[in-house]
Amino acid sequence: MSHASPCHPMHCIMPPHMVETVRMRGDAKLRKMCDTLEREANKARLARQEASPPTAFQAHRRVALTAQPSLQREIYDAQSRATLPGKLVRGEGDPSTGDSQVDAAYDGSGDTYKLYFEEYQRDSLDGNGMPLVSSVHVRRKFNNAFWNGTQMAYGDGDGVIFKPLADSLTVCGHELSHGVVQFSGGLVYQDQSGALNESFADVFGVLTAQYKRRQTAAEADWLIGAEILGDDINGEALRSMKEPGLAYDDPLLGKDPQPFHMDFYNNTTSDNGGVHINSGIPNQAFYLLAQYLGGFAWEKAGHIWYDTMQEINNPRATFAEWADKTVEEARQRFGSGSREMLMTRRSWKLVGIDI
Amino acid sequence: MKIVLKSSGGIGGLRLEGEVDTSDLPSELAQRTKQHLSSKSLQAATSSRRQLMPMPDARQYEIHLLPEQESGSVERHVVDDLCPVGEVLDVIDDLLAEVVARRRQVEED
Repeated sequence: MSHASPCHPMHCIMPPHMVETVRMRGDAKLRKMCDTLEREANKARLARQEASPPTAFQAHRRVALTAQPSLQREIYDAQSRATLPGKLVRGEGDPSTGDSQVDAAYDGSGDTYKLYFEEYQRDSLDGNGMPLVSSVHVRRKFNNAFWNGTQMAYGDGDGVIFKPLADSLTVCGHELSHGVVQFSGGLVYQDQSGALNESFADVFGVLTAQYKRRQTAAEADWLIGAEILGDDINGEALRSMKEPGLAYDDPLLGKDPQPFHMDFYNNTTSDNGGVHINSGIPNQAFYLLAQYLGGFAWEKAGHIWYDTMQEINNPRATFAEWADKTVEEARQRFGSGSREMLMTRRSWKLVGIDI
Repeated sequence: MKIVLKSSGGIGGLRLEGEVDTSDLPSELAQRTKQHLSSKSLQAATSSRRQLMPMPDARQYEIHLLPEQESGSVERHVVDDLCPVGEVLDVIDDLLAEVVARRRQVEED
């Protein structure tokens, strides 16, 4: 089964980050192809701007508004191997298998799909009904979950640091949201744009859980991966959006290194420039906005962040550029001088980003 | 054969580092380590795919092969969760589990 993009390079515009990726990976021939694609993309962009207002990324949302949900889940058992996807063990509509990881990945994919479809009118990760493919039992004692560009992969954990990772709905929502970022123009996974990619995945990971539990911003715990830390680890989760830097403090893991303010921004070369560290800053900004606005976070704050992702069209966005766009999107959605717009600006100010 | 293994990234962004000596490992793991983390095997594993743009939440593994003799130099290889050679990832997972188990033992002692 192929999950390749249905778009042929001659008929669609490859997102800029993909062109950049291929350019970095490829030989001289591929690099030449990228140059051609970029030229074609620029031409097409100019033609679109002449023909209609610059709202290209809204196309999926408009399409999905009238579409029926087309949720299509496929869960595979990697059988402790690294090769993906593995053996298909549960398809859409199939009954529970009795394997808790298979069923958790199935339910987690469904819950995430539901949030994006019902609240943001997005039909799957690509806005076009893409099947949600997950593999569980990946490798042995594998302490990770990741999105590889086409599917999710979940390890069982080693039982010391992590328990099975698919057990956490925020982890499922996080991984799937990396797919949403990818199909929304992308954010290069390095430095500040990479930290924004991580933060977007955290935001929509917690929103997935809050949406399912019908929790208000005040009721939610704002934790990512609370279910997966080993029993003897001194901590409550992988990250806390409410209190970045205080999720864990353990002899084995060290102390949670996330900053909550630009004054503590971590300049590092590891972890792709600290993408899992500095994401604490935009995470805190979103948390503050959700608290200011009250109610269900997916309704107002979530829409501001989602709209920003669809419209920013800047794969190398800095925190300041992203923040600026959130204020603009709040203005567009809720009005100039609206409480939502003012509180968005204030939330960024409190984490050290003045707009 | 002595190896320094450094892991970073992943969904937790956690860093883990440890040194292993194959002479201290269970024989089956020692044998697999020598086979799949040898200089030749790692060169083959990393050359079968050019360095890609990082994928979200993939962990990176730095493998430092320490020299047999003092005059030798350290050989450094980097793979990530998208490494196409499953046996290399299997050995890395098992070695990291050893590192964690030993750290836990030290803490308990």
